[in-house]
Amino acid sequence: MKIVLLFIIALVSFSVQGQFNMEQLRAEWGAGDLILKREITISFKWDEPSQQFKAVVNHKIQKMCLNDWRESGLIQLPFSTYESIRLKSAKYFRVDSLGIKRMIENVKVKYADEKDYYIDGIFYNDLKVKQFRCSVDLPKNYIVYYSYEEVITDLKFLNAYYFRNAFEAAKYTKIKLIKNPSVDCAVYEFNLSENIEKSETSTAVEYVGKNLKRTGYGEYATSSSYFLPHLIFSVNAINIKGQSVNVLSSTNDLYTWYNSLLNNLSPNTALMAKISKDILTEGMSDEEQIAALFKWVQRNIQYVAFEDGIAGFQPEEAEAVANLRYGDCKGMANLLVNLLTVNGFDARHAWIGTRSKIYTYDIPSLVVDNHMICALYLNDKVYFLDGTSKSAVWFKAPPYIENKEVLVANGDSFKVEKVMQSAAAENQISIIGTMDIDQTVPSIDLVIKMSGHFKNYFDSYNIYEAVKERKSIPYYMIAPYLNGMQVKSVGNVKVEDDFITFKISGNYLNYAKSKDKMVLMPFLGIQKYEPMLADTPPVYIDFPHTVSANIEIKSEKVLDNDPISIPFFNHEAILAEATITKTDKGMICNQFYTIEKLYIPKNMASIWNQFIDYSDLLSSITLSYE
Amino acid sequence: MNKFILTSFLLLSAHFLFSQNEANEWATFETSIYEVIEEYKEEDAVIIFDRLHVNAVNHAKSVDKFETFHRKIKINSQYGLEQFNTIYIPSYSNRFMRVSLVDCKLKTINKNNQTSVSDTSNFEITTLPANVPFFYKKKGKVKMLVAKNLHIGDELEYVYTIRTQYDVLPEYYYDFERIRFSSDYFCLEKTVSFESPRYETKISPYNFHDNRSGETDFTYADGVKITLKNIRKNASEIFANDDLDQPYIYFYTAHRIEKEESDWKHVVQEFNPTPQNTKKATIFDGESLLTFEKELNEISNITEKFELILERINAPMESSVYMYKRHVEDDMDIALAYAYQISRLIKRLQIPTKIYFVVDKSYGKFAQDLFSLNQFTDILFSFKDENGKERFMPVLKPFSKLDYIPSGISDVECLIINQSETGKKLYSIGKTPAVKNSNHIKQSTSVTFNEIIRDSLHLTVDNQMVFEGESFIELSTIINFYEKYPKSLDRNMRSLIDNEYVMLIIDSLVSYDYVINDNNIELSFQYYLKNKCHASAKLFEIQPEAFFDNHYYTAFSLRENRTVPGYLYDKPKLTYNLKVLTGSDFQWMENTDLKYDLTDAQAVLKMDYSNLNNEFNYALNFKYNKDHFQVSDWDEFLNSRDMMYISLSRGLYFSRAK
Repeated sequence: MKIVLLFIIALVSFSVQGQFNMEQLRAEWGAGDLILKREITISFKWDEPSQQFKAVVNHKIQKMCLNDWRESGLIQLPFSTYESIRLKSAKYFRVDSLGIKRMIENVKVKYADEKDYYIDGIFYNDLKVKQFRCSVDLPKNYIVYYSYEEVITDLKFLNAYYFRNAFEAAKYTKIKLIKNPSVDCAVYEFNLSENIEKSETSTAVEYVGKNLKRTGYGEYATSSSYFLPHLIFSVNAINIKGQSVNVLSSTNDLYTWYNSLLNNLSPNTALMAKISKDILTEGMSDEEQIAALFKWVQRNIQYVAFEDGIAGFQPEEAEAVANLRYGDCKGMANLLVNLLTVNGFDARHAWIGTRSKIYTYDIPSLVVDNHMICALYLNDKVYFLDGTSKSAVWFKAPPYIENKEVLVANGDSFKVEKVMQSAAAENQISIIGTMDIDQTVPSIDLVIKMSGHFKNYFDSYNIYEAVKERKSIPYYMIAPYLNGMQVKSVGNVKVEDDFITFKISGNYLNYAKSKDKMVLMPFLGIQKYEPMLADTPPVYIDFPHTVSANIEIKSEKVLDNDPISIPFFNHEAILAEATITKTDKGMICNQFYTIEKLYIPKNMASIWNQFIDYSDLLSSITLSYE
Repeated sequence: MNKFILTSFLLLSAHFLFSQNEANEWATFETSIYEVIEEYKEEDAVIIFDRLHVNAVNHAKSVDKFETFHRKIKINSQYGLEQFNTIYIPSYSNRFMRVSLVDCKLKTINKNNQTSVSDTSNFEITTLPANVPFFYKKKGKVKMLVAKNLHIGDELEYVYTIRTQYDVLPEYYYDFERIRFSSDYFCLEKTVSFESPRYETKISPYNFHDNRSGETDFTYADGVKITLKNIRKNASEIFANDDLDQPYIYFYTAHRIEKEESDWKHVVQEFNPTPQNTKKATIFDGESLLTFEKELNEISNITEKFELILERINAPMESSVYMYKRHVEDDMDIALAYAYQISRLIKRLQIPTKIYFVVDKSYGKFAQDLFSLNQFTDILFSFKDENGKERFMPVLKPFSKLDYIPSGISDVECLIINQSETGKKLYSIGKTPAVKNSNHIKQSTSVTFNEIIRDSLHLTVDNQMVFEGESFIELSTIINFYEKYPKSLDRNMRSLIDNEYVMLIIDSLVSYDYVINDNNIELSFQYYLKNKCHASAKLFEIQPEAFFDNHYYTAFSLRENRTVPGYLYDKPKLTYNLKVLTGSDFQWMENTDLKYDLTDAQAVLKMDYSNLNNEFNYALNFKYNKDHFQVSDWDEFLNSRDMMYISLSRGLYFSRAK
């Protein structure tokens, strides 16, 4: 009897362990992908034919998809020229009413598709994707188990592995590096939380993350490298038959490899001189020449949605780019360097990671860089010219590379420079105008002035947008800062060297009117950001900026308000202030905010949310008129 | 001299490869020079000419169609440069045809007549990037080539020939197509020609009318070539329909076009569902229509017979994901195949019927002088029921019932084939019945203020929607299809509601339900919202567009200088009600501007509100009065859109109760 009882208990326990309580899982983890278990194991194997080490990365994933509206559970695994992917297994399961996993399909992985891969609409001719899906319709909650082997033949391309992706939650993730005495591999940690534990032995180093919650949606969010926990593996050196060979032990190694790619190039100085001759005129100053050459590349070389060699890092010959009139960032940078050099300027190739990458050159890894520009030394200053940016001017770097380190070629050595961060005072929007609330619907007339990056964006839209859209450009640029206004006309656009101005008129809708009273919410909604919640990413700020509004409210009506006192907001690089002043003509509502940051990290969430609260507070301030 | 010899050589050699027109284009390309174009300098680009030559060549068991495209474009701006500096040529194959590039030449010419010829030996093969200009929007792989040395002010010229190989016997080859003459750019000359010695081609031009003079003139020679000049660009204005206003042609190429084919009598006689052309008894692996003739004969009631026929023809489409997603209901070839079968079946049942061939209003009009069934976009059958009333049966309308006539083919001129009970056919020109626009969407949304938790006001949102008329048909089709797959029904319904009827990003629906009635669908759903509301904030704002679809914004660039009429087919009447239950913590701040009444020739908009016992109600009723408007009506029409936009976008304010 006891044995029978024990047997029943064991059976029930076994069943319970295999059961999934879907309601509980959904309540705990929310809708979307939930990694039940992910194991990534990195090891190094000697390849006799090539006499090189290769990295073998085994992936095993058990994933539950909750409330999944995607079709047929498509799984895509991208890989480049220096990698191969071998799918080992894939199975789809449903969860029955008892919570037990039941297999739907054991996918025949040898027939998995291999396709071209697009990232953000850009086609990479050496990037492919292996993919598979379930051949039958999946329920909204299902589980997929799959495993694959990734082989990296060039150890430089071993880089980042994440504990979870942005919209995933993970119950358990293990990333393990099996040490090889002949491979010196460094591990760099990013955004590891208390839920991730590290353990190390003589043979392996292992990181285990548990209960990693999903990230919520943020409209102005930084990229994943800023907040997702991940590891970067970088091979410093390998030992081949007793000899130590550097791979990427330092920035020097990184540069040595980059430089070797430049040494493959054969500049055609005669052609560059010929092209320059058509662009430059006699008597131009240095600055004018640089501006002309830079503008020529911006306007004549199209950044076609077609990248050659994401894995190769090899720039296209300047001659080819000039002849074809299209190129990727590497080709365009190379052309710009050649054009400037042939005219006597000290222009160099420069590698950089844009602001989508949080890394610096403290990590000697290819993962740090994703872009190439031209560095120009002129009069003891260094300038950074990016031909792919339509809005940039030569002397002001585009905002997506501000504050980033740049690896600049310097013959056999290199320099690490830094792109300066612009100041909020340089990038301003000023809104000045009047509001007449005695009309049937309050009317508002404004003069807008934009400077710095705002002005540069305007200039680029004016050049690159279709003719029929250009009239709308001022409107679209200012619309996010005019919450509450119905715009009816835009005009009087004046373009100066450093700023633009234009006029906007329309109706103001932020009011409530009863029979005997009018309540006006006089502060325009000039601030577009959202609060940072516990589960939302850090906030990405395009560039430091100031937005100010000064509105005079004209009315014959009698104001029925006590004086309004509004506090000042000042916390570490975020300032905001608002005042309401009574004058003979009416009321003047003045407000501004300044953000001197490029992004708001999670540890600034409290300050950031106080700033958002401040803006909300302004929108709830009212003026009552009889 | 060299150019003369070269031209002569090319003409001579091309004679053996291409038709005369095609050969001329290749020769013209070699000798073309920069043309000074003064017109449309303010436009991004101007199409100097756009020429298409079509040549069908038959072999023993197949036919090759050669199409030669020759275009010359003047570039006036950076945007124009980026639109045209890359050419994409289709290259694909399937089991019925193979498309390949025969040859291509591309050059740029600057104002000094300096020419840069691009190397066309090295195309990139790729799938189409997103931002391509209108010429090239095709699926599948394409060959891509960037023009060399193209600057603003230059002219780009290219000529290429593609070959489409059809595995069809030459005597059965025919080609029927509609070719638009307009594009997104002003075009100084567009020419289309057909030169197929073993085939005959007829061209029928439309909207080439004389009252366009001053902008256009055209020549029409030999029935195989047509040219139009000074074609205005497509209007990218709200509710514009270039299919109706802009010039186009139909062309029809066949082995032999009989003289007798120049009237409808002949066409109707050819519409003869013989055993041969209904031999393939099943369509989409559905049941053979003819095999259930016996079953139909056992039903005495005519209406019930047709209900059963409709059920059978719809069944394959209703149960096939592939068919549903391919929008088979838009395929006229399939509709015709069905029409043959149904016609034969009805003849065998000895029931007289009428077959209506129609062109959808949004696509064009019935061209009475174009004697081909290929011009039509839809087919209806009708019969007289037991009470002598004419009833209608649509073809290719999954989940439809008898008497469903889509609004696009209601009250339009059409070809009617009267088939007697013995199968004898006569034709007439008539009209489809006018169907009253009963399209109506009612939405009642109730927003309940719950509590403020950590600076967020929690709201419960309950929605009840009712769809009538065309909206009911569209939604019931989707839901009926979903119901065929019960395992995915819940997922599909939630996805549908979230994507179409929830205006904000939410975590998930709490619940939903629906009822499909005979004439409407009732849909209800609930979700939670968290709106930022600081604990000390004195005001809370809600905008109605957070709950109701607000698509009435008119882009700034489209407000002025209206140039073309607008077409609004079957836009729904809207009845919106927003109820806000604030509880005792908040009270609504009255705004008398929410009471508003607009009634004019274009639209009716009525807004009203009430506020009692912490319950605020806001009611909106809106409908367009016409299904099209003229240019002169634009200001009035825009005003009604603006007022509707404001009514949904303005804030509703709730202050903290004292």
